[in-house]
Amino acid sequence: MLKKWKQQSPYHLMLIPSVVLVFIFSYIPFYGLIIAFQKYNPGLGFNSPWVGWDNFTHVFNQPNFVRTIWNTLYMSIFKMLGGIVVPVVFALLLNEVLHNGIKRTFQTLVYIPNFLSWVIMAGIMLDVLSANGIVNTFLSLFGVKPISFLGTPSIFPWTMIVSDIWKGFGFGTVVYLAALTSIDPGLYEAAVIDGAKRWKQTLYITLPLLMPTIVLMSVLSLGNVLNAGFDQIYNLYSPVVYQTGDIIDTYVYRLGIQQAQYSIATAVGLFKSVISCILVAVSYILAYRVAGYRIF
Amino acid sequence: MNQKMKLLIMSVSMSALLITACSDTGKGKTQTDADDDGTGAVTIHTVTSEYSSAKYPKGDDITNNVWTRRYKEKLNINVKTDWVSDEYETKLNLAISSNELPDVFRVNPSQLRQLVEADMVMDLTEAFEQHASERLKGYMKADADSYESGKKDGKLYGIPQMHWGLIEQPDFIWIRNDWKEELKLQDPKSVEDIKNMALKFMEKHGGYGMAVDQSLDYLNLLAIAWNAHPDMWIEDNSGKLTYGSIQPEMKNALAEWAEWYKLGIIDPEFAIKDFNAMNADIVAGKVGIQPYYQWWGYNPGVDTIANLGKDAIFYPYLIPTVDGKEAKQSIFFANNNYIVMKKDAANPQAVIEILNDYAYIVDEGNGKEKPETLSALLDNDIAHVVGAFRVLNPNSDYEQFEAVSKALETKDTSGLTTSGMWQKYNNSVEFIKNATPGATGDYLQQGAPKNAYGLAKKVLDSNNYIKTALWGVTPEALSSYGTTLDDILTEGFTKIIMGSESIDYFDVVVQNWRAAGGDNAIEAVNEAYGK
Repeated sequence: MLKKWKQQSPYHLMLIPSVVLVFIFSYIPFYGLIIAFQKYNPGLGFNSPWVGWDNFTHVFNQPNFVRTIWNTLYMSIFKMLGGIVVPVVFALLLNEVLHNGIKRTFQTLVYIPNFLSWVIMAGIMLDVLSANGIVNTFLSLFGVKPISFLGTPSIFPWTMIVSDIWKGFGFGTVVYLAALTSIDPGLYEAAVIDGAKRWKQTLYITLPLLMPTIVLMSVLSLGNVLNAGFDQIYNLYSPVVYQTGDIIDTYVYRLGIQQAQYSIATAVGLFKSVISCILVAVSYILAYRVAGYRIF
Repeated sequence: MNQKMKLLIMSVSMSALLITACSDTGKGKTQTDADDDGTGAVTIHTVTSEYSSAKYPKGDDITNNVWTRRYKEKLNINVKTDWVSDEYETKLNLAISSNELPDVFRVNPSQLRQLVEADMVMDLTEAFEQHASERLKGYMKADADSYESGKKDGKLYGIPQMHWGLIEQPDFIWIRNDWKEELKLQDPKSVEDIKNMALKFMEKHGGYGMAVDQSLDYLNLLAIAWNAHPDMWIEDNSGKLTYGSIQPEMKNALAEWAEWYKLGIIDPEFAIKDFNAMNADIVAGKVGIQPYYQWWGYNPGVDTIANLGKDAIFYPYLIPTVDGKEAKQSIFFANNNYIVMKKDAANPQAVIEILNDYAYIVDEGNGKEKPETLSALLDNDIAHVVGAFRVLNPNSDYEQFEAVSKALETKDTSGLTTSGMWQKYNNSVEFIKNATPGATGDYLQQGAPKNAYGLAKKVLDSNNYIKTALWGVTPEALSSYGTTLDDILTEGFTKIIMGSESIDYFDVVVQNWRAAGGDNAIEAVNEAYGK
C-alpha cells in the first residue's frame, strides 16, 4: 500500500493544480447559491434580506414558464437523439470510404461548422432561409410556396433541431471515427472467414464495440438536457415563435439578466443544475444496470 | 536528480505558483493614496467606462486627457480613475457588492435605488445647494421631474446627468422623396394618405410598402395616430395609472395594421427581421416608407445616401391621426444616469465644482475661452469622455436647433455660441453643397428644409404631447418581470397583425398580460406614484 502510494505520489501532486482550480472556480462559488433565496442587493451582498422560496415561486408562477420547459425538453431531446444517430451513421459510412484523401476531406468539411459561432451562423441562416433565400428559391422550382422557416411556430423548433445537428455532428463523427480505428481488424478477418458480409459485420462487431463510446457521449449530453442551445435560439428567434421556440434560458434572460435580477437568474440556474444532476446520475445508473457499461 | 523527483518538484512549484498568484490579487488592491502632495490639492477617485468613438491626441486616454489636466490646473483637483471597463454596469455591480466603491461614480436608476437602500451613498442636498452654479441649478429647474427622481425622502442622493432635451423624442413617418415626387404625391395628412402612398409605391417599385421590425418598436410609433400610447404609463379616465399598450385604442391600430399586412404594405417578413435587417432594406432601396425616430439621418440615412445617392433621401413628416389632425406624441422619461458619491467620501464640493466647470465650458465657453482650448475639450467626442463629471443641459438641443436654423436662414453665424451648434451648422452646409453622406444625420436633424427638429419643436411649442406618468425610477415590482410582460403583448400583437389570430384576440392578450403580472405592475406603479 505504502509502496503504491509512493509510486503514484508524483501523479497525485500533478493533479493538485487542477483540483485547486476546480475547487476555486467550481466549488467556492457554490456559496453564492444562497442569493437564490435572498432579495439580492449588490450593496448588501450576501447580507441581503432572506425571502425563502419567493424567487422560485415568482418564476414558476409565470404563466409562460411551463411552455418554456416543454419547448426546452422537446428541442433538446430531439437534438440529443439526432446528435447521437447522425454522427454514428456518418462515421460508419465514412469508414467504408477506402480512399484516404476523400475520407479526410469529408471529415474536415463536416467538422468546420462546429467552429463557427452561432452569431455568424444565424446571420447566414437568416439569409439562406429568407423568402428569397437559396432554400425557398430551390423549393419554388417544384412549385412550393415560400416557407418561413424561422417565422412559423410549427416549423421553428425543427429548423433549430436540424441546424443544430448539422452544425455539431462533425465533432461526434471525429470521436466515433477514432473509436472505429481502435477496433481490432482481426475480428473482421475472423468474421469474413465465418461468412459475414458488410452489414453483418457492422451489426455484430462494429456497433457493439462502438457502444461504450455511444453510451459515454449520451450520458454526457444528458447533463445538457435543460440547455436547448441559448446561443442558437437567442440569435434566431423572434416574438412570433415564442410559443414554440422560447426556452428556459432565453426566457430567464428576458426575465432576469437584462434587468440585473441576480436572485431570479440564480434560482433558475439552481433549478436547472439540480434537475441536470439527477438526470446524469440516473442515466449513469441505467447505463450500468441495463446495458452493463461503466464510464468511470 | 531522477526523473520522478523532477516531476515532483515541478508539480509542487506549479501549485505554489497558483496559490501565490491567487493571494496576490487580494493584496494588489491596497491603494497608496497620495492625497496630499503639498499643494493642498484634493484627490477624487472615480471609475468610468470606455468611450470608443473619442479620438484622443497622442498619449492621451480616458484616464489622462485634456479634461483631467484641466481639473488639476484650474480647480486643483486630482481625478484618479481606479478602473476603466466596457462592461461598466457589471463591473460596478461587483464593486458595489464587494464594497470597493470610488468616491464618485455614475449609476443607473436601479443601482441608485439599491445603493440608497443599502445606505452606501452620500446625501448631496447641502453640497449641491451651496456649491452648484446658477447654470447647473437651472438645468435642474428645466427638468424638475428628473431632479426629483434623484431624491429620496427629500434628500438628494443622485444628481441626474440629464439628457439633450425632449426635442429628440417626437417620432415621424419618413418618406423617400424621389419616389414621392415622381408620383406627384401630397404630404400625408391622414392615416389613409399613408396607406395609399404605400400602395402607390408598391405598384411602381414592387416589394412591400413599409419597413418595420420584429420588436414592433417602429410600427408602434404609428399608434399615436389612433391616440394609443403603447409602452407608456398613462392616466386613465378615473385618474389611475395604467399601461398604454392595453387600451382599446391600441385595438383599433392593430385592426388597421392587420389589414395593411394582408395588403402587403407591412413587410411580409417583418416578424423575423431585426433592426439591422429592417434598415438593410431601406439602404438597398427596396422600400420608401418607415416610421422612425428623429435620428433617421444617422442610421440608416448615412448608408442610404452613400448607396443610393442624394435623391434617395427620406424626409420626416408628422404622424397624422386617422381623422386628419396632427397626432399627440408620446414623451418618455429621459434621464438614465445619476452621479452619486460614496457615503464616507470627502470633498463633495470638488465634484460639484467640476460639474459647474463642464456646464460653463459647454454653454458659455464660446467667446470666453480660446477656440483651440474649446476644440480640444469638445471636438472629436472628447466632450463625452468625462464619465460621471458632467450634467447635460436638458435644453441644449432645443437652443442649438434655434441657433442653427436661424444661422442657415440668415447666413449670419454670430448666433452660434457652442461647438455643437457649429458642428450641426457646418455639416448642414456641407450636405447642401456636396451631399456628403457623412453629413446626412446633422442635415436631416436640423438643417434640411424638412427636418426632424423643426417638426419636433412644433410639437413641443404647441404642447401636443403626453408625458409618461412613470417619470422617474421604475418601481421594483415592475422591473421584476423583466421584459416578459411586454413580450406577451409583442407576441400577441404580432399574431393579430399577421392574421393568425383575429382582432378579438386582443382581449385575450390583455387578459394574459394582466394574469402574468400586469395587474401587479399596475398596482405597484399606482402605489409608487401615490395614485
